[in-house]
Amino acid sequence: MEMMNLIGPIGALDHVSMQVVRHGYVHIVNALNEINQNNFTIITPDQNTNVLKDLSFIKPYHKITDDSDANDKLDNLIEIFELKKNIYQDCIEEEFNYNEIVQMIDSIYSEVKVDNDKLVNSRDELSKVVEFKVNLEHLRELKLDFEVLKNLHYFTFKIGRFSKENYKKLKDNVENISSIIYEISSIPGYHVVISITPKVLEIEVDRIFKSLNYEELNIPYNLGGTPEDIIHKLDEIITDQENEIKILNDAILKQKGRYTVFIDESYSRIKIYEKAQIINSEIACTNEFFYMAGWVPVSEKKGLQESLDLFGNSLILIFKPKSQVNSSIIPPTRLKNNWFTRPFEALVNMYGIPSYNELDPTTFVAISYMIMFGFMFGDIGQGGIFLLAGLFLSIKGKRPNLGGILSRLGVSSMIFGALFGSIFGNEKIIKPLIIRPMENVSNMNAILIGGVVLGIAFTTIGFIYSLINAYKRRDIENGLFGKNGLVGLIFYWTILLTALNIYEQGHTILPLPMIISMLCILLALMVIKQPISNLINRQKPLYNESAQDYYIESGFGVVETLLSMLSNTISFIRVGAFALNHVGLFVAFATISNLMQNSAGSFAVLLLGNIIIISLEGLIVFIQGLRLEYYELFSKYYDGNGIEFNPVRLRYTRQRMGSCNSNNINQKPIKIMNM
Amino acid sequence: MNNITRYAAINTKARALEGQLLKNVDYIYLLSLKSVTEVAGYLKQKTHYREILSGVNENELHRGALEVLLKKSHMNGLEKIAHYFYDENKEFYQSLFIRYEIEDLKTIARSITTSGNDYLSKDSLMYINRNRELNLDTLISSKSIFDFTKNLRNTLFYKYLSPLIENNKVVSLFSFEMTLDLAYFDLFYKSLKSLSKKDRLLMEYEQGINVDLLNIQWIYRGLKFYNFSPEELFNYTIAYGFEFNRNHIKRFCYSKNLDEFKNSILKTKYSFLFDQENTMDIFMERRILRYQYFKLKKMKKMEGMDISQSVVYGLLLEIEIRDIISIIESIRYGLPVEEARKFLIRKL
Repeated sequence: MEMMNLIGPIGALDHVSMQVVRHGYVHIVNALNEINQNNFTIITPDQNTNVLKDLSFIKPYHKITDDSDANDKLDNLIEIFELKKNIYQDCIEEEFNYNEIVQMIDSIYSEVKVDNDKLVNSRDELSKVVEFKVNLEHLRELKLDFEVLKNLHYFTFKIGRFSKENYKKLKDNVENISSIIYEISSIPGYHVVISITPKVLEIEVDRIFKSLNYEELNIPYNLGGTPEDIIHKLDEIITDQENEIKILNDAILKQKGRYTVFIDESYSRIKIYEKAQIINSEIACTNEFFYMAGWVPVSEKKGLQESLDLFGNSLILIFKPKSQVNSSIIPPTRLKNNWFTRPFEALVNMYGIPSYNELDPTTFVAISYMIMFGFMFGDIGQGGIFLLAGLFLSIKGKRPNLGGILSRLGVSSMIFGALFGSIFGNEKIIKPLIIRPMENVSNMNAILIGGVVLGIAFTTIGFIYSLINAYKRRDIENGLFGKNGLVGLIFYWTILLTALNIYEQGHTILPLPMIISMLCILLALMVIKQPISNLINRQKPLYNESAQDYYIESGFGVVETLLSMLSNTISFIRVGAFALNHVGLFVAFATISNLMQNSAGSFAVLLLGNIIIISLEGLIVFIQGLRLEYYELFSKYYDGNGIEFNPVRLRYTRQRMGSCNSNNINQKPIKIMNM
Repeated sequence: MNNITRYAAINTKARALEGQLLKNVDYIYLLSLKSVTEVAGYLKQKTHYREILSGVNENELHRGALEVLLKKSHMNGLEKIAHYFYDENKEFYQSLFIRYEIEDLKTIARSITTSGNDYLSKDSLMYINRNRELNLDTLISSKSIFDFTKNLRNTLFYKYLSPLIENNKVVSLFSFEMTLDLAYFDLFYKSLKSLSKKDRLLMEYEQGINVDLLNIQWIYRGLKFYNFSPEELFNYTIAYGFEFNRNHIKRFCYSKNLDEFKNSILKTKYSFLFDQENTMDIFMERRILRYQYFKLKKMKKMEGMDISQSVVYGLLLEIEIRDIISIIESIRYGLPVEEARKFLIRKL
């Protein structure tokens, strides 16, 4: 990774940012921070010194105009026309003038909005009319003439509604209200009532109704007649309204035809503009220039230079390798794994992103985890189910990480199933390529020991990773003398080989006292790792804390080392134990199925058994494997304090739209302010 | 067992936060101070408000800004507790925030009707800002209560407010505020449905007392100062009281005069409102709040393994902030200490 610093005229900022987004490999950092920490390289002598002018007035960039408006309008238009939101590659690749787009959107929006508002209003009107009709349906049998009721001399006639709570209040006090109230229907949340009030008391009653939030319904009384008549007339009105709505709809469809292409284009373009604003929020600027900073992978440097070429001399682009950057700034880590190991990145990232100068453990995790899982869950049939589930998830279910892991684990499980001779738990069908785990005691022992041997192998590889990482960090203290370093490795293997020798041959190759003294020397080295490494590096003070504290800590550290070496190794027995467990669980189900009288019952029990084993045992093995990875292995060599590489880029959903508004791509440089 | 898993953590947190609340000595000291700056300084150095005041220079802080910060501290306190809730209780606790959103909406409404809405400080409207559905700028720039109501189209308040604009061109501030207040209680009681039975009864009790007192206050004021008809008085009362059912309330509303009303209240457990010789109206609200304050302290002492502890903390915090603001105002307006004490909710 290299740090890139970019300076340019502020008028070109938006175009430059969009070009950076198109390139897609720059992880932006806050430029003002960089400048304040003297990490920003301004110029080399043969370039323009204008950029130094006003440097003291540098400040973070704020967008002057607010254009979330255009965004909202565009969203509204997309909604009205019922378009899909797609980002087209050819549209974002081309230059465009943002302000022109905003203006076009404004004008289209005002045009469409007028029609759309009419449509919405008509629809509202229609639903109101339909509601009246529904309310009047209840009164259909009434042979009263509403016209007459409306024109009563001494009484006021109203139809309106109350909310449920308010209607209750009305009922509670109804004896004190000087009005006749008759409920004609209740729709969800409301009660629709007719009220007849003496005109002299109308004002009082109105105030009472107002305090209950009474809503008078706009019945078109001018339609005249009995409810029956009014309903007929309403039907006519409804038909008319529906026609009107159809006409408005057609008009909108016509507009849709005219503007769809532009709107689709604009959507993509606004999206890339928004991404550019994300970059802009991290840059610093003065009145004339902008200052941008970010990390770029070394392999992408050339690409970036080429992308920014079309701005010509107006931009200054400088790269700095990590060594020239303040050591407290950590470059982000970009993981590069091949197709096979990539899903396992998710497992590693759960623990932490790899630090910048650490080895990427993903490959080791992939292989070791697959082996452990297969060993603990070896079965051709059940592994096959995992494989299918994984494929389904990654293709149809859109979860490529989980699906990828499952399918690879499934393959491993199938391989081990072939080695152990087990299909869906049944061990009688095929012959094992190696051994049957639970055939007899010696097989079982072999499996358990096999687990431990696997553990020793992985632990050793873990040590090697730890040594390599320490070398990259130039860390003598932990790399050479630490319990995860060279001394620790030698100690570990010495004990192992000694134990093995005693077990196999009853005595050791080298005399026992010599071995014991060697071990003690190694332990002593571990205890004094800090002062020794400081001596080697000629660094004073020798101890980072007081000598007393240091030795107490170290002493306990050694005890902990001894214990943990033992427990870490034995911990891997669980790999063998779960393998046996797997078989044992199936034996239980097989026994039950043999007790069954009919074959359908047996089959059902076996099926149930397989389902339970796959889900329960599968989950347990998954978690146990992960635990071994994280606790026994990662704690030895993995730091996980990195920052994820997060470049600003825009992912397109469709390649070509075909008719993107066409300025050619490789055009002349943008005209910028004179320097 | 179920209750313990639900409430043990949150009650412990509430208890811990309560431990940080101001003690009587703090209030006595604050009352003796001479300026807002001194109050701010004391709060910043000696109390839990140091968190919210940490970046602030108290010499440049004037009264309005300090009140906004106190309000923010209240919101932070509520959010700290809300953080612990999950499942159904979370819905209930969120409904407590609705009360403060409504207060903010009423503030905006008032500033719209008085023409000087440049004095409206956007910072103080923090509860509305918290609500994703509302755009503060649109709301503040409404030209009238009618427009304001329309701008609340997408919120859960709209179904209560829509009758106000249906057939009218103008919406009065009074009906707007009353509708929102009644809407709050409706929403509150609806949100109780998601609680367990024990919790629901506790909340009905706690809120019920509040409702009774508010109803009494409303009827009293209606009878004494305004010309409402009894029906209107009744229609604006809140329906969910604890001690008083609808018939009681109806009878109160139809009291022939103020004395009859007072006498009927004297026969109830709320007699403290009217039984002193010298009951000035100006202290009515404080008397009500003080009653509720002591009720809250009693509930706190019961230390129930239920929802009451978390709700009680929020209310105690609110009372503390109200008292601090009272003290600040009495300092600002030069009230002598003895007078200022009478306005505090807690009894010193």
